[in-house]
Amino acid sequence: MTRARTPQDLLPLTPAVFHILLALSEGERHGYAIMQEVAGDTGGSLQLGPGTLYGCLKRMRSARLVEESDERPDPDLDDERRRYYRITDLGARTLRAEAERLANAVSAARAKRLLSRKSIAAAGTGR
Amino acid sequence: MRSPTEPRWLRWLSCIYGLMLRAYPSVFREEYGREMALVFDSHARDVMQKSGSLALVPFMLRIVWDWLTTALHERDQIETIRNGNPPRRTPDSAIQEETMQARIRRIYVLTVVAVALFVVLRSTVLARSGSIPLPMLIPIVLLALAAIFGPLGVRPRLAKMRLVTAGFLWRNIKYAFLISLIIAAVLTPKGDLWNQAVFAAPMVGLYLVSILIVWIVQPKLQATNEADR
Repeated sequence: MTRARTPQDLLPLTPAVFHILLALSEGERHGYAIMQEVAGDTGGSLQLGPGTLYGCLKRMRSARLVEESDERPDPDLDDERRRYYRITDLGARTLRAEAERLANAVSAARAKRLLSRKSIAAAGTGR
Repeated sequence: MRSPTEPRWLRWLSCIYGLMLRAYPSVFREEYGREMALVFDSHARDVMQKSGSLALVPFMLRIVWDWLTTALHERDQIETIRNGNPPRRTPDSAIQEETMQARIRRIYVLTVVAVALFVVLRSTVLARSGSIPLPMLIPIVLLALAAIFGPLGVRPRLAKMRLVTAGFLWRNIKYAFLISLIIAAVLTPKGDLWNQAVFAAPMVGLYLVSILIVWIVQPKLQATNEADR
């Protein structure tokens, strides 16, 4: 019998997977909306191409981190050919575990005085 | 939905991207190809509306890079599964992504080194054989690059596919030497021995390097095969 997968089995996540999960944590999105959200969240430093995005989504679906949604959040405004994705329970737990892992790494870096006050302040204000 | 007033060349870019999608494995393309094309269209339109037509140049460069790395990666995945190895368990293995990126970066670095090598070789050859017109020199250099550096990557891949072994390559070294001389004779602008040696020597040298690489990767492959059984 195979053991149920835990978030710890999937860590660490790549930046692309982490940011896709982060984009989906606020609700269902289609591919292009995910791309825009990721670019916005990272200040444009991470721009996913279609190949990277759908390659990640394929692997994330097979790992049960995300799933395709049948519902259409706004059918009147949207192109019906688009598919929507949503985060699963495992995906949400994995995202939280990865965020905690990153927070611990930042704390360790801060303790070793690797981060300047300026960068801490900028991170705090989301800039 | 595509507007009829959309610039014609934006539609051409969509067509080009549609053709680029063919590089992905059919399974992946059938599942995501249509959506990828939609995403490309929306993104290209947005880039043009926000930053103008010129912004499409860096956009397309990013798209080509993305296409190159991910199409190779998806093909690699399919090949891994076909070879009987289990697909990777992680959602997006950082290691594999880095390996692919590193592989492509290595090809770029190798190309730069190769070009530098051939600039030196070209001046040596020119000094010996007189001037060669540039239109003739470019295809020669490109063919020589392919002849010299192509097999270096091909042979370990053939070994991975269990088509060649280090022993097989070593046993057939005399044929490799002969083929290298024939290729060198065809590619060299002048038929003298010096010119042929300049082209043939790196080919033979890299053949030996590729035997070494195959010899190194072979035990790992055997161990993996035994573990699979």
